[in-house]
Amino acid sequence: MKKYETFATTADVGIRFCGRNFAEFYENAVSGLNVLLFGKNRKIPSNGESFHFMRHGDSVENLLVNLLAEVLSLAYQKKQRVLAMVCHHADGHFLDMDLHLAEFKGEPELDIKAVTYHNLRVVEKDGIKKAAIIFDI
Amino acid sequence: MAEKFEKLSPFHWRLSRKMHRAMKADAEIFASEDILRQALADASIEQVINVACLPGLAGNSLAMPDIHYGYGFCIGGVAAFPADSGLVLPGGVGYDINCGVRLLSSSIPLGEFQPQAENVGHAILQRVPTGLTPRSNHRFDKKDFLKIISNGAGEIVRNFSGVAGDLECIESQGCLPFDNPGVVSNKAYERGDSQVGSLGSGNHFIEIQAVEEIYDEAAASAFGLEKDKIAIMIHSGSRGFGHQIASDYIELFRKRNLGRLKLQDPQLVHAAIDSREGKNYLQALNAAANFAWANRQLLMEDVVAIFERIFGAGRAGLGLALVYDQAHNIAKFEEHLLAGKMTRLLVHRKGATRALPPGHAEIPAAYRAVGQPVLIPGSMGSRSYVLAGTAGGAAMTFSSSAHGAGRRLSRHQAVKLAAGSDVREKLKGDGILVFSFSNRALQEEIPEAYKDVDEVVKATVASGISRKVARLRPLVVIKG
Repeated sequence: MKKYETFATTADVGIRFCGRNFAEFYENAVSGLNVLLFGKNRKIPSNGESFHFMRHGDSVENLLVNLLAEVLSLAYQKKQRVLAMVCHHADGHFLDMDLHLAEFKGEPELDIKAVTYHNLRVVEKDGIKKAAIIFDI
Repeated sequence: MAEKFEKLSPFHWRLSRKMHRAMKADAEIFASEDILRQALADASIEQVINVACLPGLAGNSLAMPDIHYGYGFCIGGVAAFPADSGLVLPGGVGYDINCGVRLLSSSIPLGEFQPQAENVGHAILQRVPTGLTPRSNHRFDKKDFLKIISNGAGEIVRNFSGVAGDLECIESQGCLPFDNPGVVSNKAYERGDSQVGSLGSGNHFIEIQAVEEIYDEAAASAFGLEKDKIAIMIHSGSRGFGHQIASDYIELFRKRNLGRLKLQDPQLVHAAIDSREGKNYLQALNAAANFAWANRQLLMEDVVAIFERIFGAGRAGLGLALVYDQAHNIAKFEEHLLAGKMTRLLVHRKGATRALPPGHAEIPAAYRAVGQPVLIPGSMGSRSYVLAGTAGGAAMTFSSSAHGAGRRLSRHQAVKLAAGSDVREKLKGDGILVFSFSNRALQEEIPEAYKDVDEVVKATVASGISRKVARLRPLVVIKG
């Protein structure tokens, strides 16, 4: 399986992603969402700003939804795209991560309005965590 | 699976609760055999069954003829719970709370409109904010925004523009009770306060249509619809404000009920109606519903102003009048006959329309004899329909009906199919002028991406849940 890939349902879009550890898993989820928002090739320089995401969650699913909702909020409300991530701590109940940002011009490619819990279940096989998330557009 | 359904009529199917051990109620689908098979193929029937597994449903888990796959609930899903002891589900409403449609009639003859069609389309695209994250032309400070989410469409009519009589032609008079600003998050306020009066993107649209066919003269006349006259349809919702409220409360309900709920799908998370979080969600939902009604009122006023300028007459002179405004993503307290007794229920409609029968007290007086207007938009290349509620629908579906065509192709598939063709030119060839700042949005919304609305309407009428009044042909489409 690729680190992340996008897919489309009849009405919405989603990402499938995996990771060998929690940090990689969360980072790949953000990278997958970035592809939906900005495509694969839209390059922009960093503006040196970062956003500190620190959150306790009741589960990996809960942390994923909140992390991706924050990335959407940065994109649509602040016009900031996540360029890189530095993970300080990541497990199934706590995530502490710096999101390095770049301001972008124009609009994201899609109007993603919400991250859903629809059929969201993180599974682990052979040490690899996998999940798929559907976004409301 | 199809063989497990009992055929109650050619357009009404029932899956007994005995077929699935977790089902606590039956599942009923109002659809043709073809639509039922499609619903089985896209797993939306599974979603109707999942709802039937929830405890305390009043009646059965229902799906309207435009059933298709959603999250948690299917689109076209209807579920009611007793108001005093039931459940409330944000997933049974959807993210775009009070996404809905409003229709205006006019006395402008088709022949008089046609020479101005291009001007009207350009003017609307220039004036009405469309697309991903546009800010409204209207600026409201926090105090005014609070008034809008408290008073809905009435706030716009009283303090901005509109006709007082319009309010009677809006479901719930364009306002649901809201008096607790504390139940709405700061993030929702931030997302919403600049978006009142903006169309949005995706399947939202403003469409100028011609009344092409009248099926029921009495009802059409009551609704002010006349053959070969112009009508205006507006489809939009509660924008980022409603989405944030839905996200906030799904999150909250999850936290409060963690480990207690055994759900087929986490998106079906719920709370008791009389719990604190349930009450707060219903308040916040009402705020979003009021936002959406105010939003559509402002959008309508922008369009009316453009018509007045281009045609050189006032709204009365142009016969511009609101036919109806209805929600198709909502949960509301309503009274329905249940086991022979009028019962107060919380009716969830997700991608479904309220369709009150003739004689119902909540229908505007002018429409009371013919039933509530039911607006079913098609895609940007196909016809839209005006239907009316029936007594049959009241008995079978808690007065609910279909809300649209529903997608057939994903956006990616649609863009692929449209690649290389000029969507605007193609539709122009069919007599439809399309206006949008985004070519991709047009490709995503090509008519081929949607199911056949005629089939949906045929099933809606044949199943007895609504009856046909008029068909509308698109002339000018403005997309976000």
